[in-house]
Amino acid sequence: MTKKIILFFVFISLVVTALIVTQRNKTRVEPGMTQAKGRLVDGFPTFPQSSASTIENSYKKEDQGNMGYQAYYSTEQTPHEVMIWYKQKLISMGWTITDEAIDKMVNDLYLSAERNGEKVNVFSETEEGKTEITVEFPMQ
Amino acid sequence: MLKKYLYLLEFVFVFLFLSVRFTDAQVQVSTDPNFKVAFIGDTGLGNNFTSTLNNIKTEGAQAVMHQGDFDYQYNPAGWWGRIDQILGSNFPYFVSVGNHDSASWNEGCSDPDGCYAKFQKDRLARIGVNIDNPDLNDQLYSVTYKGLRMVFVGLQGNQLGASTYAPFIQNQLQSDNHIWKVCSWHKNQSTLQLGTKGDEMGWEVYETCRQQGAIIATAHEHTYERTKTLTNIQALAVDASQHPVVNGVPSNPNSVLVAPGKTFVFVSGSGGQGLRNQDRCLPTTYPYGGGSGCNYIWASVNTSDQGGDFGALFITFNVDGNPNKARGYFKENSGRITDQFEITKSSTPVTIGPTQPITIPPTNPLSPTSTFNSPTPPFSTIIPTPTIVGGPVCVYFKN
Repeated sequence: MTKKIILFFVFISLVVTALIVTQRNKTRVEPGMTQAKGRLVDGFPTFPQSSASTIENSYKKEDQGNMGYQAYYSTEQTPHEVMIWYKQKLISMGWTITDEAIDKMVNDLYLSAERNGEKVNVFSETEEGKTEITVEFPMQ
Repeated sequence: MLKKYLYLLEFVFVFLFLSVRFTDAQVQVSTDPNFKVAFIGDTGLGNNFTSTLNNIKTEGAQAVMHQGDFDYQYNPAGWWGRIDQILGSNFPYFVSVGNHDSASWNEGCSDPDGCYAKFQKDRLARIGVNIDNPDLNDQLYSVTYKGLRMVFVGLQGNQLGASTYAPFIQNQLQSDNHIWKVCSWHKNQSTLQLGTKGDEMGWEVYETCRQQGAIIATAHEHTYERTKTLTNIQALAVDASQHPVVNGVPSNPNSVLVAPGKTFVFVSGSGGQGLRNQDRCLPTTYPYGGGSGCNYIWASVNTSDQGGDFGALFITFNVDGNPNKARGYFKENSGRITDQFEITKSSTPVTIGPTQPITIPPTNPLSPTSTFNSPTPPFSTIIPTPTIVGGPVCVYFKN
């Protein structure tokens, strides 16, 4: 009998823990926005990620049938290394680079790319000694 | 004898009347008629910046106010050279320092490409514009050009906003008699932009400019957004008389009022460097967000989520023969106009009553629809608050 009670409480504890973790990783912060910490939010478009980077958080937003996505990564690479990697990778995947500020830039580098009507913007900058990468899929 | 006194009395009245009229005329100094100024920021030194400058030239702007982050390369000579090439070396161009400019801002900086402040100072001297103080290294200066009063403050709002920047703004504007005044700086407070920027300026600079009836021009976030008329910027209080609430949303977004105590804020940071999306105050369509930190303050937004492009905000002062009227529009470099609005300048100060302690009885809890015996400031409504039962509370009004 005691064993059953203990098992019951263990089961309840696991359920509660799972609920807490789920809520922490998936929080609605704005109307129409769903956020995820440490991973890409469900439905995030297929997009390359440098093996040298870590996902910090991501979100998706929807309005009138349009969807937009954003993801933050951090890395030890320099913004220049990051952007060169993305540029080469995107071109190899059939994306067209429509705008870029990479060469000669001291900080705050970016590129814009397009493929089959889909647009994406990639930004990289150094903040407090760490390189941040932002990938934005504007509402479309 | 009586007739003599009547003549004397008449003379005194005429003198007093003319004196008052003369004094009024002295109090209000107008800009030149149809004086058009372009507001840009975060430009870079690529083709997008060239397009923005060409846009400014095509629109016939007579001056540029740049809210910082110039070329992102610490290349003052190259960046100012691009401006000279397209707009001319004597074109009136006024800048606030951005975080990507600060290392090469100071006169005497060791950058072999020159120092931004030195280029700015030389330019002002060439076009005959006097600076309040020739030292630009403190990132604080003010100038007047064609009747437009401009005050520029620097990057350290969190450290120096209350102690240095706000008193500087107050000092420059409190006895100033120009109709149109603009405060310009680079950084933001989080709720005064729609991206991911944090609180980097402090509230004192915003509130001081509002109290002085000055338009607030910022950048830093690489998007364009403009607020409705605000009577308290920190509290995100929209002017209910200028924007009557209709279906819960302050209306009339494209007609703003500037007066001592009221103004609007804009971010014009899409001058050419990496256009960003809208992270806050969703949805991405008007009336945008009304929740906490948003409060339906936004009148117009143009980011990558709206399919936006780089461009400039143009404001033409003293239009339609009315020195107190101005007209603004945001024009993308592609030619699309995404925002159009009118600005009215009033000299009548806005009086906000002092804080009043109110005690709510336990039997009559306060809710957003409460009425109570304490005096409510004129033209004011209670900002929605959670229902509170009993005890002393702080009630915020929006006017």
